[in-house]
Amino acid sequence: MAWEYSEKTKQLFLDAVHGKPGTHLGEIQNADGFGEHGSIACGDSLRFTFRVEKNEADPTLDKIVEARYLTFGCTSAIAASEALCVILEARACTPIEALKITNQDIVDFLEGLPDQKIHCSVMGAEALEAAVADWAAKRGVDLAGMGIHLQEQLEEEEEGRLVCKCFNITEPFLRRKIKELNLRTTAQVTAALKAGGACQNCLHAPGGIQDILDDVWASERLRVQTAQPAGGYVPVPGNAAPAAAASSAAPAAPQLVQIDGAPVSAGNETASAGTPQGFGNAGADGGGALPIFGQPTLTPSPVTAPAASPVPAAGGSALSPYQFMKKIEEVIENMVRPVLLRDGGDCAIVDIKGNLIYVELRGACASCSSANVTLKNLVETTLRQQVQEDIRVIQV
Amino acid sequence: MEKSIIYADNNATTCVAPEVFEAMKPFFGPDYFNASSMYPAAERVSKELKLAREKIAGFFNADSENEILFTSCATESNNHVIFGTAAANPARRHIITTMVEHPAVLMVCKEMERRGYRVTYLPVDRQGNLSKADFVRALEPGNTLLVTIMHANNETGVKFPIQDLARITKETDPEILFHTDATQSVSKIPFSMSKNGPKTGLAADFRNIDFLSCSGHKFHAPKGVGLLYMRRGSRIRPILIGGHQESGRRGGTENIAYIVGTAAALETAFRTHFEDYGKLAELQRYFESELLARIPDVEINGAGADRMPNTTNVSCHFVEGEAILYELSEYGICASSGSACTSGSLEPSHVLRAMKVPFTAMHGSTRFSFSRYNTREEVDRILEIFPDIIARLRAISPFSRENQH
Repeated sequence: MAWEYSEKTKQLFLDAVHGKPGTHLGEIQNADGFGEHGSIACGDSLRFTFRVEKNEADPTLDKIVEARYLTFGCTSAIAASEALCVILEARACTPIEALKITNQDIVDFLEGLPDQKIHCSVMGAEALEAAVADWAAKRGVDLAGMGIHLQEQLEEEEEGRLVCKCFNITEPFLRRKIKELNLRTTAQVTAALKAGGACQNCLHAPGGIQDILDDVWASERLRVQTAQPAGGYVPVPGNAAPAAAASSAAPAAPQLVQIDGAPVSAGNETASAGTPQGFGNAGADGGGALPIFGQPTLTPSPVTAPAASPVPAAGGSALSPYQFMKKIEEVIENMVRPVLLRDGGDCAIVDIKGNLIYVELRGACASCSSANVTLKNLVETTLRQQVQEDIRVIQV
Repeated sequence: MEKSIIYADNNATTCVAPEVFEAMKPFFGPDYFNASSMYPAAERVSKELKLAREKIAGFFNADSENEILFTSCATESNNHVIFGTAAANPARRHIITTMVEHPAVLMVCKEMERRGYRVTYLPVDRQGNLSKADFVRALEPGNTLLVTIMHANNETGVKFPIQDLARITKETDPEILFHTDATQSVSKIPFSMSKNGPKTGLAADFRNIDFLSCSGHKFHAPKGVGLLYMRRGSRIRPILIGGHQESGRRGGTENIAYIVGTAAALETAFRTHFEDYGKLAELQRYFESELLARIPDVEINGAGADRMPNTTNVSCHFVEGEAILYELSEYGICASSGSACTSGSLEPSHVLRAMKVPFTAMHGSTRFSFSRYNTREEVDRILEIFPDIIARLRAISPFSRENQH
């Protein structure tokens, strides 16, 4: 994937990186406006600051005279940050007027951005909004009174239901940006906001990006055509999707059986059959009824291959898997390890699968070229004699 | 190309070697015939095909030249093994792989999950190593169909002990098939497929490996040709059906020019790879010790693991990889990155994530991968430029050691 940046983007990036005079790299100390957007985990982040020429009579007439940025991000993220500062300083406008600057202005200034990089320009516009909110708070400007709800919007968007967990993007933010940027497809949402761009699970999940898109544009269509409230997807506070799934699934769930007051599903019934009473039987028929996964290391694994199941020694008595494992451990501990330790070596059991015993050699044994021979001769012979004739030892 | 470049992206692809180009030329000219044709004019073509197969079987120390299959790329070889073994062994429904495989294995395994197979994705530690104990526990005798584990990782160069893993697999259950994607190591590490073991002690003993995939363009052959080693008697079905070529195991007219080129490329590699290996290892030691000395807050990913001598994956904290690559390209240096912005998916490298590389370093990863054509002078030039790039980007970054998010 080659770079598809405009000459303007490339030039802005290189000028900024090489600290060309007139570029806007840096951070204004005690800035009048301070805003951040993104995070290192998301792969890009912008810290934006501006200084105003104060109008003592009316703070709303403060004029932005200087803008600076620090950016962690790709070529276009850095170029977009630079562009934002240039645009602002050229306009020499009030912070409230600055809110009219959109990500499209940044894209235009950069003479275009590749589709998958649009989010770099959005990051600039978002950091600007955050900085203006900060300025208003510091200067006592009542934005809400003027019909501009930046602070409320920031809070709502931070606390809203999380839709994209990879990039930490909430539903209220998505709804606003989908409208503002006129995003119509999930691909456009990902390009502009990154949402859904990593694990992609939220794209088509219930209450996910596709549902939100459908709802935003459906309600718009309905409003235009019939001026009636929209149907379709209704946002639920908190974790909406599982709640909806659970309630719709409940009536269809199989009937529960009450045993001693405790509800037991069919699945639990099987599990309870594997408790100690069932254990001895399992051993006799090869241990096939035991759960395969999530067991502790030394529990013998059941195996489906007949050749690999623990077959009792000819004429010997059958051991349960638990007894079998205990016996192996005992023999290794009392008869094998002492011999190895004498030669400066050691061994440990890694796993037991039926008649296969996986053993790791340590210390002097591990680097010994005759390690395999040691194993075969000592461990395997001893185990075969003491426990079961068909045991095979595998060195790990 | 208006300016001379330093090519340090050989894990992505390599240049075609001049001798390979020469060897291929006749097949674009007078020897254009179909290897399957009967007339005498086509004879040279079928002879060259046979010769190439024999040569490659020799380099791999295979017991039979029929164990070498020509494909279009390593991706095809990997697909062939996974789909083909599943089709031939329907009773087995479990596959073992790792979290750091190339997408050509990983995505096929995901597809197998969709088809109802169970797949175990083995994790790696902070250095990129697998745990043998995890591996052993994942094996299910009688149920596991296939183990598919790469030899060397394309992003970090970390090598897995496939020789041992294959032995453990076969000792557990000889019916479990073992496949390795050796795309990054073929031509760089000598190995032997023979059941009788290697002829010399230098080659890794792959006698327990059933399938091995690789791709010509990683070792100075052209793009568009791959190899699949297939042990005689292995239970596998073809996936490209429609011709008697490759003994019916892969239909399609043989790509003679590229097959001959692959044999020629391997010939050079096997003639020189011992010295190349030593030279690259020395260059790597020098390059990495200088990087660590010249750049603060930097780490070599997989430094503590057994690694390929040609791959250096370096993470510079607090900066973003795509910007690094762009700056490098301004100086004519070609490298690559595991950063989200270069992946096309907005998600940083799955390999570095599996290794739990911290966020502050993950996005700033740069991979330099060298070949026998790289020189000490080129490495010095990179060492001259790279630290300055990092310093400049750090000056722009809102993050630093003092201010970690």
